[in-house]
Amino acid sequence: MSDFIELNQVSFHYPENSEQQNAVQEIHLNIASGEFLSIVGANSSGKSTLGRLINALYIPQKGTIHVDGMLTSDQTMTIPIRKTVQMVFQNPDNQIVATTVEEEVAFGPENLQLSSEEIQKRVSESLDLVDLQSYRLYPPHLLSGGQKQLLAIASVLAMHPACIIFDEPTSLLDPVNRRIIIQKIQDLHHKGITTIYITHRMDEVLYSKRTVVMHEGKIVYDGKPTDLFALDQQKLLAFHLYPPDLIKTIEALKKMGIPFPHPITHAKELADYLCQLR
Amino acid sequence: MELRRQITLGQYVPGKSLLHALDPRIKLLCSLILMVVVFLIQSVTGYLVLLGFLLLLVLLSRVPFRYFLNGLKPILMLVVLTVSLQIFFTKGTGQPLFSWWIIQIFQEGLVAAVFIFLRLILLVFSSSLLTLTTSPMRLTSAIEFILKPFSYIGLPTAEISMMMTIAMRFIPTILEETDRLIKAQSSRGAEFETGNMFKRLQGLIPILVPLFISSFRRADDLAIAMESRCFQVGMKRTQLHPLIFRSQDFFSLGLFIILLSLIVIFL
Amino acid sequence: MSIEIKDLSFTYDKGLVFEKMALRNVTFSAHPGEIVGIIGQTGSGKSTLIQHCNGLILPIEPNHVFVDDLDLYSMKKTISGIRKKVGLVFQYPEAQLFEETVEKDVAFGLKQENLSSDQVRTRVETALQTVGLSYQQYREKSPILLSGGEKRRVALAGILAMNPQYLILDEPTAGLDPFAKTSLLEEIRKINREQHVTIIMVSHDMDEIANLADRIYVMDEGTVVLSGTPSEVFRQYDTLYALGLSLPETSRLLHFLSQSWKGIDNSITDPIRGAEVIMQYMKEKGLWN
Repeated sequence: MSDFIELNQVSFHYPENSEQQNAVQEIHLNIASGEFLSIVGANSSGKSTLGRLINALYIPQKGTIHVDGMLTSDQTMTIPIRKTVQMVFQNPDNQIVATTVEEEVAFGPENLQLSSEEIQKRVSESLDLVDLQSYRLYPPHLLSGGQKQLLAIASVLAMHPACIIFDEPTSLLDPVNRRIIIQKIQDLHHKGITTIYITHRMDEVLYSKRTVVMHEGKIVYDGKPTDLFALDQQKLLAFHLYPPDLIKTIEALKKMGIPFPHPITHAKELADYLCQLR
Repeated sequence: MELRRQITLGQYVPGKSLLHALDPRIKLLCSLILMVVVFLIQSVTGYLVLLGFLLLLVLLSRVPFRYFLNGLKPILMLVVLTVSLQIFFTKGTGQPLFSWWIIQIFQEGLVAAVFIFLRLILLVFSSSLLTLTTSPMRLTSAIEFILKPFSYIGLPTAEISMMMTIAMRFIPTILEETDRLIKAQSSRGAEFETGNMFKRLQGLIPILVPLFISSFRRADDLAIAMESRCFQVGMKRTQLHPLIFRSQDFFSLGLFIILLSLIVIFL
Repeated sequence: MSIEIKDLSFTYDKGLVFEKMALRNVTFSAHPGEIVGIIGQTGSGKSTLIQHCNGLILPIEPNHVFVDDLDLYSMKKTISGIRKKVGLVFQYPEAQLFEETVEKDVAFGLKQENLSSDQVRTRVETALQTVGLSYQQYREKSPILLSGGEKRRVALAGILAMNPQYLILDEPTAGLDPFAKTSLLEEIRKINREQHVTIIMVSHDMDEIANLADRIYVMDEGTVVLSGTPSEVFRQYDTLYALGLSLPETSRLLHFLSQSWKGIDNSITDPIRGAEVIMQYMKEKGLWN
């Protein structure tokens, strides 16, 4: 039984890198359909590179990557792979090409040579999914950062992907817009989309059920986010991981003897739990 | 002062008029025909009838007249200059109408001035009719269509069209960026308004260099994002709103050509 | 000697269709040696306010904006003097780097001052050192080829080289990963404590404001809604929540706890201290042994 996405002993260095220094090394990772996986690490840990390897934007020099059975290094499979796995990028502005919202969402389907009727259907559906229907004729520069990211998500949804990779989608947004985007991503995951969420923010890691930590191109942890923060503090610092404040409080309380049989990730949850302790 | 607010993309004013609904290719063609006709007409009556015709079209477009007047602003200086040149420097036969020191105004000069004035006004109105009633997107599609025959001799028309779209898309964004850069560099003591020509050009470096750098970065990011959504250079693409000729378009074109021919022939 | 803003109002594009009132009767001050934080959503007027502090936007009436007792209303011609005194670092300042070498870029702001090349060199060296970059190592490098965090430090050094008395930072840690964020904040604290530079910091990050600021202003729709010390401000959970602003995690936790646990100190923002306070409370009330 093979997994939806399989990376087998993958190593990759950027072609223009003269020393051929690997951006990712010996990556072994399996992702099941419908999962919500977060990939976290410091800025040059290789996490973005990993995302781009999965949707065949880069091809590894060593090892293989299979997406739904298709090999990424097989050039005839590039389009089908990208129809299956789409990507939303970090900079809202630098992924929008069209002069109106609806034209932007139509860009992908136009590339797939779908009929006008089909394109119009997909544009409407996608705009509904991100609540941007009323902004159809807006030029992108009049949208807020959060709305631009929602537009990017709609553009990607119009390709009907089974999986979406989010490459630090909130790092250039303010807190309000960040919440909106994360909520939308969670909604889409509930609708069945396999979600890979790349971030350097520790608090965002808590939204996923499985976290992969990358450090200097290698995977150094693969498991539950809450177990991650229970690890030795020195180790976490070495990976440039800073536990969210709430986790720090919980770990401190644990050391003082308070038991935590279940993982807790939100302030309200923790308050409720402490109040009913005896 | 925010640069972005001052520039409306392509001057397009959305609307539901007859003119808005016409196929952009027809409109483009009509604009070109109109501009040719402007130079074919030889009589003042002809110009006035044409002007009347254009004003009728302006009415049909349901775009407020002040937008058309705004279109004249950029060439106001040009109009004043050209008209003045005609008035003061056209030599004519017979006696001058007005003479003072070395200035002589002949009837031919006045006539030529009126002609040139009318021509300039008509040209601006014609092109405004096009740009005010056609969205940049549709205009680009129309231009792509017109360039299509050249693709058979190797001109990358689809790519040119995509480049135009992307350029239009980023103009407001880059203006915003320029605004920010001006503020940031001003805070570092950069001066943009003082000094001679040379100094001012030098003062642009702290703005232009970062803009270029970020534009290259943008281009890289954009290329990856486009490829990620299955864009491939040279491949065929379909359209969200394909340009389809309807009978109204041909009818309008026919009517247009007939009317203009009448004006040219009889006036 | 301070930045004083009294009852300031400002409208963008006055008289046009786009007219927008960005500031309404805002009163604000930054006293020598302080770190003042400004928080508020996008569009709350924070940018407009700080641009008034260094004269990028000049007041249209007298008696509203004062820097060291000088009314900026009358300073149009001599505004460059103010720019030296009040340094302003915008968001993502790495975008403004353009010179061929780090040294040249950091020295850019010094062109207006008639300094000898030795003096310039010293200023550049000191500024780079303050942001944690070695002069010898970085001076010849091209700013464009540096990492994001390094670029940001170079941009900051460029303003520090002008020896400002006041330093305004607009979202200084935006987009940085936690590691870079922590070290930059440390440097900001050092600049304040060691070089006695008054700091005004605009931020969305409640935690960093809570840990650094001596006083905070909370803005919404062009007005100052709350002001005071971090403890005072973060106690106003309901107001902040209504404004769409969040609190530092620890404050939130203590706020929720204070609904059932009367008397718990909910002004704490440090997570470890928070745990201690919780433990102390539980022991005192006999909830835990």
